Amino acid sequence: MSRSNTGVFVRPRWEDQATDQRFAFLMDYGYWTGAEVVNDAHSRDFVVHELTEDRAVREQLSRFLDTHDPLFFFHFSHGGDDTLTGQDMSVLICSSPFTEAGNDFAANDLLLRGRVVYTLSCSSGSVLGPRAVEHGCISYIGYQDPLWAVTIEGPDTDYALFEIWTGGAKALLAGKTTGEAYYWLKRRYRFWIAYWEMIDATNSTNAWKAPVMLSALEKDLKALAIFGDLNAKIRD
Amino acid sequence: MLQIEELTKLAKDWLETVPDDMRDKVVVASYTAQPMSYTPKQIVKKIQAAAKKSKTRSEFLKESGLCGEFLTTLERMHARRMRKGGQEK
Repeated sequence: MSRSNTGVFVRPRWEDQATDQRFAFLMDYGYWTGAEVVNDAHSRDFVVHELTEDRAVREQLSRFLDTHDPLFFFHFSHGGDDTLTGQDMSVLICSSPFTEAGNDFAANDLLLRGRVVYTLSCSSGSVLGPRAVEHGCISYIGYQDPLWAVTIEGPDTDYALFEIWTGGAKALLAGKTTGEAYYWLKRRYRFWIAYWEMIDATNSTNAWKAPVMLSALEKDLKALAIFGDLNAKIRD
Repeated sequence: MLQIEELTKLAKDWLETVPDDMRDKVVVASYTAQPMSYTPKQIVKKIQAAAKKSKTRSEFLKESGLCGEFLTTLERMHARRMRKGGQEK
């Protein structure tokens, strides 16, 4: 069975951090972003398997990967140095032994072996990404430091990050290599940084947003990381 | 490089430019395992608290934590405006 053209899209959502802007909670932004990626995948006849909300947990993921073995692994949630989280901040993937609800568990980053990972989450590029690649993950695109979202509603604020974050995944779905997707992401971050530097130099009523946008965009760009094969593709 | 008092003033001046209805709204948040979020007022409050505790610029930026990075962005933007001979908004 070909593993190309097939992906799992892990999209938890819970009431994490109230934002009271376009969406009520921070996870809603992630869910919105993930839904756009899933729609794009459907439009390209990509085989989509979704693990959303209560299904976005470790046991379901493990069972699911055993059965379907998809090449592409998309994830949007909170994260830590060695961890990707699932529903309600549960541990989904961890490259170190961990304890949850009083029980000890072994590292499970081998679940990413043989996969191309695109994660929108904090910090997992610092430990989990490199370790997963050491353990056979083909390619891992993630962030080495906190991933910042700007929640100010607008086509050049929260939507700018939506455009960047979905765009990287869409590039992969369109058949670009992981390296091409990574450099596309860098270009888009730089595009929006240049845009906000220009806005700041004007008397626009939007200028107050510029330092918020610039600090988030610059931090996210600096944190963006890729590990493993730069020539991997998720499509035949 | 600006010193503590000037940097704090930059932050306060920035807050004055934020529309009233946005000052208490979350504008930035992180996808960390311990989520962080800030409103414009919280950013400036954190900076002001750090100013009270710090004697040097480096202490101040460190004490401001993530808001320190926001501050250095503000400082850079201010410097650019000054270089262009513009006036502060």
